[in-house]
Amino acid sequence: MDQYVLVKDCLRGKRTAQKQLYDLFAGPMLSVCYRYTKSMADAEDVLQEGFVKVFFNLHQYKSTGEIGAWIRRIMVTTAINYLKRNARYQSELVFPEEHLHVVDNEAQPEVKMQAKELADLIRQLPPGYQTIFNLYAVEGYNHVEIGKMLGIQESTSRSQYARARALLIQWMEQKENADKRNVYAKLI
Amino acid sequence: MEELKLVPSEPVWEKVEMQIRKEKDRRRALLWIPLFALVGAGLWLGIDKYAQRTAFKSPPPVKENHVGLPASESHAPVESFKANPKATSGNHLTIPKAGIENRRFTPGDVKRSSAKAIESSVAISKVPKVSVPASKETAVAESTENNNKNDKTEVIQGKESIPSIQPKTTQPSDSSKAAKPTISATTQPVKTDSTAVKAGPVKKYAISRQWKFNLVVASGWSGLGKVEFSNGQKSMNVYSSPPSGTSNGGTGQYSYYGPSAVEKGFAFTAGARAKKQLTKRTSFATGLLYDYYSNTIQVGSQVNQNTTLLSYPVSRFYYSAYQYYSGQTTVLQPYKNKYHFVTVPAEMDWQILKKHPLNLSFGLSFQYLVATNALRYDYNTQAYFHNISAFNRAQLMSGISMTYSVPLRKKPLSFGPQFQYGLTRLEKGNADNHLFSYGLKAQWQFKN
Repeated sequence: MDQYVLVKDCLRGKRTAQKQLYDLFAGPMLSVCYRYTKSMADAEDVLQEGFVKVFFNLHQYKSTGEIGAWIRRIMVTTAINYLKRNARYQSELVFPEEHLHVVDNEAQPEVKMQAKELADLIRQLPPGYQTIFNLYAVEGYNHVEIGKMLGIQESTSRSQYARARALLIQWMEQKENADKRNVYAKLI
Repeated sequence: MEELKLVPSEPVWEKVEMQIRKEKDRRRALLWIPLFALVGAGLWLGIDKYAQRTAFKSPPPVKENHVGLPASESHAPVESFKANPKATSGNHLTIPKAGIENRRFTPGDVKRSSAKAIESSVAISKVPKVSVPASKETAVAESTENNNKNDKTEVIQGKESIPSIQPKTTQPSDSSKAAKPTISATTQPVKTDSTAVKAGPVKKYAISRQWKFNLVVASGWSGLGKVEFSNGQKSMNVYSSPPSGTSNGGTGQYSYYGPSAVEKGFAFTAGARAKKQLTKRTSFATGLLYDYYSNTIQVGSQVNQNTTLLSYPVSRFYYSAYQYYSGQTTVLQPYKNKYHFVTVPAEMDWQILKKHPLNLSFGLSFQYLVATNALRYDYNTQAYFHNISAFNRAQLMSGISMTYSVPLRKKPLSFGPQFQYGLTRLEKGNADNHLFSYGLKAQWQFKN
């Protein structure tokens, strides 16, 4: 079904259309929420809250872009708000001003990893690093936009992202080395 | 990261849908407010015209020579008090002659107080959370729409607990599964905070004999009306005659100031009501309510002076007051009489139409005056005083109302106009002043 027709039916209150829209985007959006939280339960809470916002504000959607991108933006914002007000994440959602030498070389690490494993690694990061990494590397926001969303400076966002990236590369390399050792151990 | 596709559990959509429906029901309920406001406004205009014909009005100004209140030496109407044991208080009424001057009696500059909009109170219910089913075990997901698209896609259902990993020293716990994606079923229950929905048999025609409890809120206008029988005819006009008797030598004219006209004031009701179905279309209701009535009169300035006021023409009542409001003046100020009642109603509800929830309620209410600041008019001194003993604290009120029910998840919300009239006199010994009120009523059934 054409997405514009689907949106119109949803605005008319048709339950089947609303369920169809949900079925279409629930999976990908849960992945988005999963990356920002520490558990599947929290991810589903964010997903539920996000979709409620989607249906309540669907009349504001202007058919200029993809509905998926619009829903994704709502999910990201909902996830960040969820982290800010959730007691479990509040204490860890800090963005210290680190004076790190930001490396502009965005070289990709030579580690192959499944999407799920990478997502799990990202979720191992502290919430602050995790959020900024997701927003920059996955969602595609720039540091200025991230600074506005999180209420931090652009330089803080850059340094936090660099730190998060360095940590991830380190873990991925360790994992790869461990996998190789396991393979050798089995062969011996 | 686009490769990662997860599937949410079933209760997520149910919770989303519940939130959407809740908002929709709330918006639907709000649509009824203007409809009932229109109906209420129409009824209000009609009843207002009726009330204007039956309002408590002061008599036309009377200007008479040498007719007035007797001087303190001769209390012709007071003579009947002597037999009353209460009359031995020792205080004598003195009527200052200086206060009675040659003035033209002008009725109080009564202006209709500006009409306030009827506040329709809506008891909007908070729909309790619809319980969701307890979690069910998710099956192993081996083929879904997502999996068919991409071989590398992993589909995970249910919940997972992510193990905590020390990145520097240990490897991620699921590293052994890195070679090939394996899908495992998870059987952890989904976090819910409500009980499961129990679907029972639908009984359309069974009459429930249980008491159903409602929250009731009403607001509108109240006033004082009077029914007087004169030559077999009813009259709603106040008739108060000055005391008979001749003046004890005084010169000049004595003007008589009657009681002020009573203007309607705000009325409010709140409380709980219990209803029991008797037949398919009739039910009996009772409960406990708080009623507030008010009206406005025009009085003179406040006098702080110990005095004993006699209530004429019913002379057997003595009232003492440390302050009163002078009525012998043309310089008036508004005073709001407020009445606070506790009410126990006994009503019959009748569903007028078979297929539509339009109910007619009629019955009686027993009211007890808990507190009031209302003033009584003393014809002898032409003054207003406050004394709760001057009122009949036990009142019997008749009432009639019509409501329309809007179903809100088996807890209907009813709106409609109502009218009440007191069958008993409000004030002791005085002319027949009866409380009446009309307005809009709303009630919400919060418990079946």
